Amino acid sequence: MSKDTGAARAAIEAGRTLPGSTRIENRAGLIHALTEAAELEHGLLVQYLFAALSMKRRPDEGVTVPQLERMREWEAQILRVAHDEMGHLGTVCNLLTAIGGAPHFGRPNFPVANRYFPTDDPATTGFVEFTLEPFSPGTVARFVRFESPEPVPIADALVEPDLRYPTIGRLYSLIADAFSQLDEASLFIGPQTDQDTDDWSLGLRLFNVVDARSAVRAIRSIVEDGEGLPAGGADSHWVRFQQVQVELQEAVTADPGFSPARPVVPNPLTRPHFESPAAGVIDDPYSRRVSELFSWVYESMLLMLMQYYAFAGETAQQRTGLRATIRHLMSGVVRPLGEVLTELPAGPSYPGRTAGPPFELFTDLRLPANRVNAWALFHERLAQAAAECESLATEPEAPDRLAFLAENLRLATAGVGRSRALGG
Amino acid sequence: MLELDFAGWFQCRLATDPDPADEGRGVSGWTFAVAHEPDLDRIIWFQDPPMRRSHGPDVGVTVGEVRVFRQPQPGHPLSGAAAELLDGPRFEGRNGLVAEDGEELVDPFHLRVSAGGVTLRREDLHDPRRLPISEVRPDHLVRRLAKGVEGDPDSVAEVQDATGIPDIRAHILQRASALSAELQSAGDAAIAAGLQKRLRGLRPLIPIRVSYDFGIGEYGGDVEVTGDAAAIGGEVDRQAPWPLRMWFGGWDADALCGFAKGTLEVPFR
Repeated sequence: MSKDTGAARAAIEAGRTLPGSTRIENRAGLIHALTEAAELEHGLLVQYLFAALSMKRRPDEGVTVPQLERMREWEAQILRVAHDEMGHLGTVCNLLTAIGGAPHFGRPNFPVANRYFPTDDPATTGFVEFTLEPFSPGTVARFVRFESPEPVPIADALVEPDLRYPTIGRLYSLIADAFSQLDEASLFIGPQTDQDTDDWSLGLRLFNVVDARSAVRAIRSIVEDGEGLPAGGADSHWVRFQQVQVELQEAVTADPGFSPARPVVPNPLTRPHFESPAAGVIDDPYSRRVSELFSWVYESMLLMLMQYYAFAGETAQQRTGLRATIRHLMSGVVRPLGEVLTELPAGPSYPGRTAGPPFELFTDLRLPANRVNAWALFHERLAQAAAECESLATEPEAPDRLAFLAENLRLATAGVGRSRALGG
Repeated sequence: MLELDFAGWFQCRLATDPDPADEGRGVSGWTFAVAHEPDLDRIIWFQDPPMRRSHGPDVGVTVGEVRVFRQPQPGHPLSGAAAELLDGPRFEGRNGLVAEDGEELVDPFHLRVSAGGVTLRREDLHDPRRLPISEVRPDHLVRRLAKGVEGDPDSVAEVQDATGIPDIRAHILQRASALSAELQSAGDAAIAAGLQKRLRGLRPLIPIRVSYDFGIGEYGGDVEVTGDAAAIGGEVDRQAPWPLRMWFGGWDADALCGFAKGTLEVPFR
């Protein structure tokens, strides 16, 4: 084997990265790690949303008014953290773009047992499970662990991880090291302006990445939000979740029968997927239709995010319109539809349990390379979602909110139609 | 032409971004319903809201000065009349799907002013076919949108003058003090929890405004004119739009109230 061949092979291996690696040695390895970071942020965000949307909202659900007031604060805290994670996902996409990678919005369906948070602990080489669970002491404990700066022992591993990082902070530390150590001049080949720095009218903080310094600054901000720097900053996710944990424990101690969440089935899906055999397939026909609608809209939103972050030649007005539609769908359809699901029956296989927002991806996310076709796809998908929602709203078991959400989907469809017409 | 100046506090119990527009209790936005209060519903009440929060302003939008051909008419039957918005109008923004922040429209729009045997009532439609808002032509919708947030010094001064609250800080301190005192004497745990939530979420009154300027009835809608033309000041034109300029501002998020001020022009034939 020649020297060059050996170097090339080493580069390929590092780009994969090597099993159990604690270093990132080239662009491909960095893209690999950032892609994993994007999946992590996305996965965390969805788990937080699921728990928040599972919470009871009314005294007739078996909680007292004072308990509801505390629960509202907890839900608000979790939703605020979820918003931060949206910003983190956007910044990670900017980091990917800056070095010639592709923004990443895909992820496996839940539960994901053996993919994230591999530990260095030789006694317990494993992973932290990503799972959609209703709000509970156990769920909050898992959230604390996600955001913790301290490595924790976790369950047995099934496979050897590519990258070892017992905390999110450690993963970002590996990434920051790579940005600092790799040759800056050759690393930053991506467009410097085709990055998203909008606050999305949600106060998100996204960073423009043009060099090693700005990359490290962006990464530091993400870690500060999560773990806090130094560890445990007062407004960090870790501290906020710990506060929720303490208050929840107080509430349970005061009322051992306190049950803040609706009886939501964990990891609800509309069909089995090969990667998520442990999921709960909703078998109430109506609830399954609403669940499919939810995931259809969610998937449509991800496709639009992919287009938005791809900077595929849209006019400035089109980009503004696309961003607005994505944001409108988040608050105007995805969240309320998720709440609706937590009050619908899961089906005969789950007596007394309810469905929940599945955040299900029916297939790999793929966009047509042709921009015009992509916009046709968005418009068609939203129009189909609106028609299905209207149909669901006419069924006898339809919750009151569905007619309103159908109208919102019609409005979103019209918005995409107007933005689409602005392009060539 | 008849001109009616009107002003007063209205109530609107609405969820705010990023809560969904139809959020009933308020979670991630900065408005919320507390114990024993019904769900938030976005309905704008110019008169007699079904429930009121303690320590808020008195709700009631009323006609002030009345002019006929620009001349003040102190004894006009509509002087001091209640202005009402009928049909349960809501602030329509829907998290930006209908209108962005500061541009939310009031929909449906159906105004009635009535007193002393005189009633003027006019409905404004987006389209004569009474289409749902999702099917309305954008150029029809846009005329009803607010013109965006006005926070310039002149606007702030006018809001503070109209509300009679020149010292925002003193106003919030007074509210906090009143809520704290009420909390001290609250015997019911649920009411106490609600008062605590109000205290935690207490925000100063926002002395900004959004303005509206459109002709009521441009695309059709019900119209009612009752009363003697001599008493009104002329023969009211039921066909021509009735120009309306008004602003909503001075948002008191704790009381879920804001201030409305404007002028309705009613053309004569």
